[in-house]
Amino acid sequence: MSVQLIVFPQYFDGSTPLSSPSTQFFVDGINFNQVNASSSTLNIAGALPQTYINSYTLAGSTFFISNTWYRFSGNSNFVEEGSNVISVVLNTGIVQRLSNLTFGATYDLTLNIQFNTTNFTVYQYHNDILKSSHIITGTGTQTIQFDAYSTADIIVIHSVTSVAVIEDISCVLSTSIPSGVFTDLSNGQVICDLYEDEDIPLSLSVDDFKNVAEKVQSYSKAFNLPATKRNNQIFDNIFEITRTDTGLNFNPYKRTKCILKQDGFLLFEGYLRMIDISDKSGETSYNVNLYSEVVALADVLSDKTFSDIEFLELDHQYNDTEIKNSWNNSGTGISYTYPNTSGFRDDYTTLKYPFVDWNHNLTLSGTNINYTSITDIFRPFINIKYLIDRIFQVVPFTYESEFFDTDDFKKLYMDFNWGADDIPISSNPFGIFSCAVNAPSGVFAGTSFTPLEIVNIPNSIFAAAPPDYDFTTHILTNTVLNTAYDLSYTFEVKNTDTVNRTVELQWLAAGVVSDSSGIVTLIPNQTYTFTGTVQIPPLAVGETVQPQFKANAAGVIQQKGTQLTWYLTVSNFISMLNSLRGETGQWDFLKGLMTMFNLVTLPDEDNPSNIKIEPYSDVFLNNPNSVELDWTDKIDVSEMKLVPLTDLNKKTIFKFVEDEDDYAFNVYKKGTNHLYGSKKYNASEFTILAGEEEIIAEPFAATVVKPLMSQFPDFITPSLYSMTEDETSEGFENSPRIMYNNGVKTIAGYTYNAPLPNGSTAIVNETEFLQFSHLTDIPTISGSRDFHFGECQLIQPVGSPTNNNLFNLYWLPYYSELYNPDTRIMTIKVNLSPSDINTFKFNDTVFIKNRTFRVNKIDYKPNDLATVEFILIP
Amino acid sequence: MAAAKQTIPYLSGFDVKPLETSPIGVVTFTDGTNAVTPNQLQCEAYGYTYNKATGTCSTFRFNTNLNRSFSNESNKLQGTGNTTETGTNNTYIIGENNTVKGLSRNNIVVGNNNEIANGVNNANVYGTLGEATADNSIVLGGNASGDSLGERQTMTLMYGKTTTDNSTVDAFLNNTTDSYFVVPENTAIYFQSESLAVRVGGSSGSGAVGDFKSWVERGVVINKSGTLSIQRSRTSPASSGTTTGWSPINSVSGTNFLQTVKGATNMNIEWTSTIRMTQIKTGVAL
Repeated sequence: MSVQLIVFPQYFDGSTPLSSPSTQFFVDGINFNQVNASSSTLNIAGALPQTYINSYTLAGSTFFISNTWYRFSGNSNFVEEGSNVISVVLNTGIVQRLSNLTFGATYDLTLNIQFNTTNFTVYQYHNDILKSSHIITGTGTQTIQFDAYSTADIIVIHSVTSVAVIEDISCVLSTSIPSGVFTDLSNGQVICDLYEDEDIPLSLSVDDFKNVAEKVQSYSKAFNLPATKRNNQIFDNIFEITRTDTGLNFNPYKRTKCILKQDGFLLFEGYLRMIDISDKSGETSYNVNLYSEVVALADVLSDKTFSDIEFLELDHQYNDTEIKNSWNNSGTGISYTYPNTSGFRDDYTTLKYPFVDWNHNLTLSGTNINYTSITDIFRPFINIKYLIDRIFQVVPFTYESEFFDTDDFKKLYMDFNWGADDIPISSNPFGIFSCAVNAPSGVFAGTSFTPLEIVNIPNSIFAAAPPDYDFTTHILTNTVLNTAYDLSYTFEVKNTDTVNRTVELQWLAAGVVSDSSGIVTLIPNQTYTFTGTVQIPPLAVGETVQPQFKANAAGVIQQKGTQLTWYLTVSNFISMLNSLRGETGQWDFLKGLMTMFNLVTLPDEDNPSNIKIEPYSDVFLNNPNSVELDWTDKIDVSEMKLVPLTDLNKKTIFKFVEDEDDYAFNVYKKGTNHLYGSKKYNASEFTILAGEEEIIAEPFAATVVKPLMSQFPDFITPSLYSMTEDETSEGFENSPRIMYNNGVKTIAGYTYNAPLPNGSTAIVNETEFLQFSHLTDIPTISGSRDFHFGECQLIQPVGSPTNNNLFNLYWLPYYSELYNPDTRIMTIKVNLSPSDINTFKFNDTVFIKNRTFRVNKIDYKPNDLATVEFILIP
Repeated sequence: MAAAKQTIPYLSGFDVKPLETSPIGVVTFTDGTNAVTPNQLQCEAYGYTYNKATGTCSTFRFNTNLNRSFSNESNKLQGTGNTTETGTNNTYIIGENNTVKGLSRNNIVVGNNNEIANGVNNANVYGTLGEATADNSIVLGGNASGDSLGERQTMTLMYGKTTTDNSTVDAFLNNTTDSYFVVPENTAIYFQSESLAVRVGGSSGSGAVGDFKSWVERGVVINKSGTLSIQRSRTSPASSGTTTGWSPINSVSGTNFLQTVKGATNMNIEWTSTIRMTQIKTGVAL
């Protein structure tokens, strides 16, 4: 009989005590933002790159600043960045001194090469000593390896004969295995010394088994390891407070992979965590514990919100064209501004603009429904599956889920509403521009509107105008998507004629008059000052802004002076996404989905950091992979305890968050005394039960779908507005909503119109809209599914409620077992072998004396009977 | 692991499960082949409510007023006996026994026993037994309590149109295409149409933008058992510039009261007419 605790060195599979395989050591190797501003030494005489490296070395030590680009060349050219790639032309090079490398460790230097006429060379230096060089030919992704000779080796890319274009450069720790510290077993594993009488008890629980994403699973009670020579080597004498940094120290804050075996059977594979080191009468021991994972997904995500996800790849123009493109499932999709950097974006499914009654701000005119802006009805929704993929992209976990890949789930979206106000505008990224002009020979107004002029003032502490302003045409042409301008202006004009003249000023933005002074009459020689403020709404690229004036006669009204302050702000798509929904926690989002669909998160036997996510019923009830184990001959009938489930509640309410400002939700609640989208599970026939439990799919709220107005019965949309005390409808900061893509629908007999936020014509006489709802079909049909919990009266003509709702499909199987009077808990001693533990899975059932049980908990101690808690399946 | 589309499971011990729910909340079960009405045990096992009296299994208590709750928003009713039918929004009623038929918005009613017809928006009705049947109209009902709806009332409406040539075309009620005031049956209406036309563009070299002309046209239109006839006369109190050929004329077509207008070639002319009507709606066949 032998119990073996096998520990892997922290130097394993690319990890070190200080870093993980994905840690990036190259700075600014993707967009090369700092390259063009970096130091550049040209026309260097002598052999390159050595001469250049030497010039930055003093007394054998380099003084290249770490993580900083340097450029050099033997001619007048230099490496340059453009469109996020760098061009290395003939006899030019670029240098970066890395930092925090581990001496002796192997690193992968990867270059993504777009263009390479012949070849170029990558050099590795330690100070001014060349340590390695690699000639790179061809294009595509190429990886070379180097061993670090210091913590700050220098990487040089130099081309003698080639013109090369490099898209990105990365340097990460090589996943190849360095020479191990321990050599007892393969891959550097080592068997720990155990105390002779140490039996490591294991506690296996289904609650832990199905909640791996939420809490760390502890498989054992804490136990001691003796401070033997071998164990001291494993833990690198951590008890010695005087130990020195060898670069190979055991790090108690890093996870340490381990395996527990008994008689050759694998009992457990996970991680060892050191709790403390005790010294008792000179006997040192390490107190450790075993975990399936050292940290749970919930812990990793606890402080993360959606604003922590870089959504730049979803940036696009917010206009009617892209809104309609988002409705397409083929053909033209959204024209995104930036490349698909995450790898998860899809042209058709990632982002949609369904029609939602966001503020009920509409007027009727004949058969037209008129809105003041597209913002009244079209705000972005992002695909749930995409969001999940993006969340998992930056955590040390992966996931597997057949459920998330089902067609229905992939058609679910979450709103990214920005709240009650207008499109959010980010703070002032471009600063303030101001000019003050005294123009004695200023421009004269014509009889049609002509531009007022802004003059560039040399040496002014302010720039006279934003960089997009053309001092020749006197027109600002916007170059940054969704830039908005707040302008404070003073224009002084003078009537130079001998008779009364009229003058009028206006601001023209994107061809639309944003502000107009009205007509002012000036007597001869009168000077008049137009002052005011004007807000130019977010502009598309290429749209223009200009102040203009006109008079009732040409050449008589002259511009005399100008004071103008431009406050530039940018309302970009990212600020739209992050303003309200950016505050939503990533874990809250996942937890809400788990509650909706009764999802369980299971450990992957082969990879503890891979989480399997499936509905409870798929794992425990309808799992073709589960087996029935016959333990009839293993039980000890001398001690048996059978108890009914006692912690059941009489009532359970499955519901969503109640948005107290949601007008439609409140009208429904008031009219029916029922929470839209909720389900009450009532076990009142179990008279001994008491209490009420609420299962809330927080942070999500239910969404009432109904006809936009009674006049338009086929215009069924989500209703998401609030109503003030004086019964004025308006938008509000709603809780997140999960909705299903019902596709594009056509309305008959009427149309709707909505201009862009700047007033420009956009959606005119539209008869189609993208419909989202909590149902898979509107009107409902046989087999329709509902992503709310229970059946409830629907606003007609939405259709009949469907029984295929969240409760019936995902919770009822679990609850029907839970509340079955034949369901009991049996605790009994079982003679389990290491082999039984090795092969057991909690979704297996156990057959004992003609009855089938599910295992709830196993307390296993080697060399003893295990205590097993069974649930009798009715 | 199974990832097939989920279906409602049969609970242990039961060979039926929910099949569908009717719009009023009655749940029908299935045995896998046939639709089945569940018994109390089956119904409650799946979390529904059984009604022994009716023998039905329900998932919610149907509320007949629910749709109406969503259809009528932002109405203020002061007084007794007032009714806002389904689809009435943003409507203010002061008085008694007034009725706003459904699918209408933004109306004001002050008085007694007045009515706004189905689908009429932005109307104002004052007095007693006034009846508004046109968008954007002002109605004053001058009736005693024993009179019939709309028996004596005045109405103010507006017609509008833009012309670009010299053809005679219909102006429309509220400048909304194909919209006309409908003269009720067995009703006589004295009307006064005050029309104004202003040139706003066009390439014609005659005259200029800003030329205008006004007219006052009076007459009576009568609907005798569904057939309309009209008597009318017209004056022009003011004009400026070149307005040759410009002409508004009231006429009838079917049961519609028409305001026709005729402009001039290559002149863009905007037309508007304020039409005040004094109505007697009789209870007899004329």
